[in-house]
Amino acid sequence: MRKGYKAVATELAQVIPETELIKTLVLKPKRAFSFKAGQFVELLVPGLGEAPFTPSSSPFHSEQIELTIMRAGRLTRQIHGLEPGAMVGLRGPYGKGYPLEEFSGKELLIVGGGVGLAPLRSLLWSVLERRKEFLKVILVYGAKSPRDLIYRNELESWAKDGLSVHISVDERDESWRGAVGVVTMLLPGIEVDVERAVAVVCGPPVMMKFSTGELLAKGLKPSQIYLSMERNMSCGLGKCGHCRLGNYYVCEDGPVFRYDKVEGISGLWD
Amino acid sequence: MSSGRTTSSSRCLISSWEEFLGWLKGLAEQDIIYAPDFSGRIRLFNAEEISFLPFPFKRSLDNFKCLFFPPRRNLGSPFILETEPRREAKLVIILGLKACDLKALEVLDYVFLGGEEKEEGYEQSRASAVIISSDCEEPGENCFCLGLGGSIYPEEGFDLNFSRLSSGRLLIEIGSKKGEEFLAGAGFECASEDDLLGRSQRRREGGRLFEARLKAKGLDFRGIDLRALIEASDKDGFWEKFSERCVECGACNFICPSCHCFLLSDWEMREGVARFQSWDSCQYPGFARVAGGANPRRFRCQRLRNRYEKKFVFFKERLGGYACTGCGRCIEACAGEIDLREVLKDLRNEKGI
Repeated sequence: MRKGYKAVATELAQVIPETELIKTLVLKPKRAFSFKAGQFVELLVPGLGEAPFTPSSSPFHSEQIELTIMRAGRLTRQIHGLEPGAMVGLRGPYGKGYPLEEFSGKELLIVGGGVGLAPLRSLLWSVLERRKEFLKVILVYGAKSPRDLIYRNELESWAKDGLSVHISVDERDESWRGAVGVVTMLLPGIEVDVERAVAVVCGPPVMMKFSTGELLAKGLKPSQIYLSMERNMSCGLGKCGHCRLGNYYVCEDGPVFRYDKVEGISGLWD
Repeated sequence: MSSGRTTSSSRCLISSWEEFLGWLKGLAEQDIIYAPDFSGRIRLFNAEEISFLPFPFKRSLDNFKCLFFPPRRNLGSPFILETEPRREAKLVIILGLKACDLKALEVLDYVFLGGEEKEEGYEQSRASAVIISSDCEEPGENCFCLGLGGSIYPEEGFDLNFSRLSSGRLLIEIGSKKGEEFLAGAGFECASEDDLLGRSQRRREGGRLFEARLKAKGLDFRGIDLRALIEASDKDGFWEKFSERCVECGACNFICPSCHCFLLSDWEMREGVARFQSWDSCQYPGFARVAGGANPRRFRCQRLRNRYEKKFVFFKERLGGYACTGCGRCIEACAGEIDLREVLKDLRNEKGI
């Protein structure tokens, strides 16, 4: 549902704590609201402001939209304080989303860092819906510590659903038996057929920068790497000018970009 | 733009400013009239005041975008309502636009009427406006439109355009159906071939004089790929040299007829929360800042460069032409005396062209 810069009234149905800093909001829009994995929405909190988020839920269940939100500033702190029953607004969806048709018939390497797993979860649900179209689906995910991993239960169930799941944490604790180190460290060990692979990366800019480096070193071409670029998206319609990235607007032409399209733009990783 | 385009004489009428004013007076009772006043500021003129319209108009001091994209627009509730309040659209007659102003409107049209969704408020103000432009007889001291490939007379984008002939008569070119309807019943005679030749001659002469002036000042940038120069302009210190004088006031953006960036914000009003669209400036430190404080354009030099990239690279790629019209308003508005012409000249000189 899109209409100018106006939002659909939406009820906050549930708040799921993921980690100390991250919560998932389960939202019920009062009007039909659909989106594609990777497209983003603007979440409006009346009287407080508005910010862009990419839904983390399955596009196939659009009556209930989930946003996984990290507390990072003033607005997200207020959002974390919302109680179920609160009325908020949703605008969108905006942007292009993941080009699933380009991924079809390929080995899909999905690389997430921190709360960057949120949009990838929406992608994963879409992919699992048509799992047979993809040769391989590999998820590589890293967080600061075991306590900072989000969607823990799902990570386990995805592994059973035919996904190859690799997880690392920057700092281990007593409970952790898995890999330790930044997520990019896992990439050299992942087996993919570089001729037939595509990689999808979402996370903090520095993580995307180094992941891209590792993926190129593995032999992937820039045209096989898809990145989620973060800029200050406001209007969502390519008009307000805030999210310009080179000759693109992230809101309209992204937020997912193939690396060969944005390679060389000054300040790409800033 | 070529001067060789011929205009069919049936689309051109002959009148005088006084006769036209007589016609306008009859409309002024019910319509709204905006034009620059004697000081160059655009304002509302009522029926009694229109005889004071400063014709022939010079390039206005402020810009016309405020009539289509106001500094602050109340968009009503931030939520989609079952029924949106309808707004009565009155005819708005706008006089005094120059070729540069029309070119800037082209940029705004691209932004607000293009893309996946048109912007309703802008579309309405455009639809209810009658655009009356006129040839530039006296380009201002900071004008350099020709040097960027512009023109001192409008060729498209107007409903009516005025040119003065050497006889003092007024040649009115009709540029649209709306313009034709506007003059229906005015009874102005058709222009002759001689009138059109007279206009061409005056335009050529005016252009030649202006061109010579710009060339003497090194302000003819035609044939120079400003896009490429700006793309390659990351040499240390180039932008700092200018940005160190920037006080981040945003005046360059607000006075610019083609700057279109805005901010959406919600405000508690007596009738409930209302969403406002307000002009924003890419020179403000927080313009590109994202959640958590990361800022891809943290430094003033990056923000100054952004303005040039947007005008000369982004729009060149998207629209096929620069979004800078060479009107020179930002030069007049800048508190730090940053002169866009000097920036462009320096870019060119660095490359030794």
